[in-house]
Amino acid sequence: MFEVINTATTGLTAQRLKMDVISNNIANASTTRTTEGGPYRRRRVVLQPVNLRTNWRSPVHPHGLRTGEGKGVRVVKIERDEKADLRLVFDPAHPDAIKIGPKKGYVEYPNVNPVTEMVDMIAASRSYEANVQVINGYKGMFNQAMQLIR
Amino acid sequence: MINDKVGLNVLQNVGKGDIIQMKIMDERHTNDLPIQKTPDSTALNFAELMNRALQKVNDQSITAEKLQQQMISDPTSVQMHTVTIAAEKARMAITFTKSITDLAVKTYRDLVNLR
Amino acid sequence: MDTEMIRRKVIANNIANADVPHFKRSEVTFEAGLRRALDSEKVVKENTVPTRMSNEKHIPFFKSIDYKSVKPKTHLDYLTTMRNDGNNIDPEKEMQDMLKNQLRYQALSGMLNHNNRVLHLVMRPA
Repeated sequence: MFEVINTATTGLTAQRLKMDVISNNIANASTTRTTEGGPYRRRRVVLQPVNLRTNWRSPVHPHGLRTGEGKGVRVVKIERDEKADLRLVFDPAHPDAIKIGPKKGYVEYPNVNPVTEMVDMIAASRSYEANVQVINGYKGMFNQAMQLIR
Repeated sequence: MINDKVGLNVLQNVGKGDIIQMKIMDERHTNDLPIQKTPDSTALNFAELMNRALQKVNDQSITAEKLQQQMISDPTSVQMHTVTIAAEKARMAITFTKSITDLAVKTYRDLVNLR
Repeated sequence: MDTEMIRRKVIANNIANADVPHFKRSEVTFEAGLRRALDSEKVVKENTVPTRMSNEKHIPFFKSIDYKSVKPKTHLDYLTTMRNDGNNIDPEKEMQDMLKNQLRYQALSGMLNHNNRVLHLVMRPA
């Protein structure tokens, strides 16, 4: 009876997690030193739909086996963005400045772009709202069904 | 015999006119074949007819109760509107049956007390 | 309906403790037990080989569980972890559980009402 609510809830959880990650990114936008060494790298959330049927292909399974509604979204991992370049600021007096090599005197700052994070935040909040609308819609439908035995 | 002038199939020529076979425009229309008897109308007597009708009402009531049980023990297998519609159908069936049987009993009593 | 009341208390407790570190959520199981009891009744009916016991204190093969004796049980869900501080409450899930709880309660009370009404209908004299 409540499959719609379960599916929408997975969406809400995923968006809330995304929001947490975004706020973490923004808060650490100037962190030059982390426990793993090096500056903070922005983190990303990777989402994946929850599959209803099997994941592997087999000659025995018919092609159209993966039918029916899915069960929502799940978070695969929160990964660090290793590919983007770090922001470099020339500041030899900084304690974290690079001491040797061609980048001598530069400080590596995290690759967090506030504009990107804000856009992601707006997208996450709209998505959250949309999921809430789905649940409200289903609540209305449920109450309509209850009206039948008024 | 076919009346060539009009193209109608004349079955019998009565003194005053012809009896013509009905011309059916659509196969869903009724024709002049004898009425087919449905299993419902081959009831032996009134009692059996009533019995059959009451069985159907009872079946509806049983379905509604089974769905209610399913709603509690296995919510994923049943939808809410199915349960409520079945419940309403059962209630309407019982209401109609009760009014009709009450009327029938009253009528019978009236008839018996005519004298 | 009693189960739903218990469940509401448990969920409210979960939500109130959403910020406490190392708090694990608890949940109430009832429907699964009820289903098991109902299914066990079916099994006993369709069971073709009844056990022959020499002493009535021996245990038979299939014993049906009385569905009236099924009670809701509260479990502590200590296996999963949601956040770094050991707290495993997901506020969305708790809110939606509360919504489902409310809808179920409404549905159950509606059904009860309906059954009562039909009964009254039949009881009325001609």
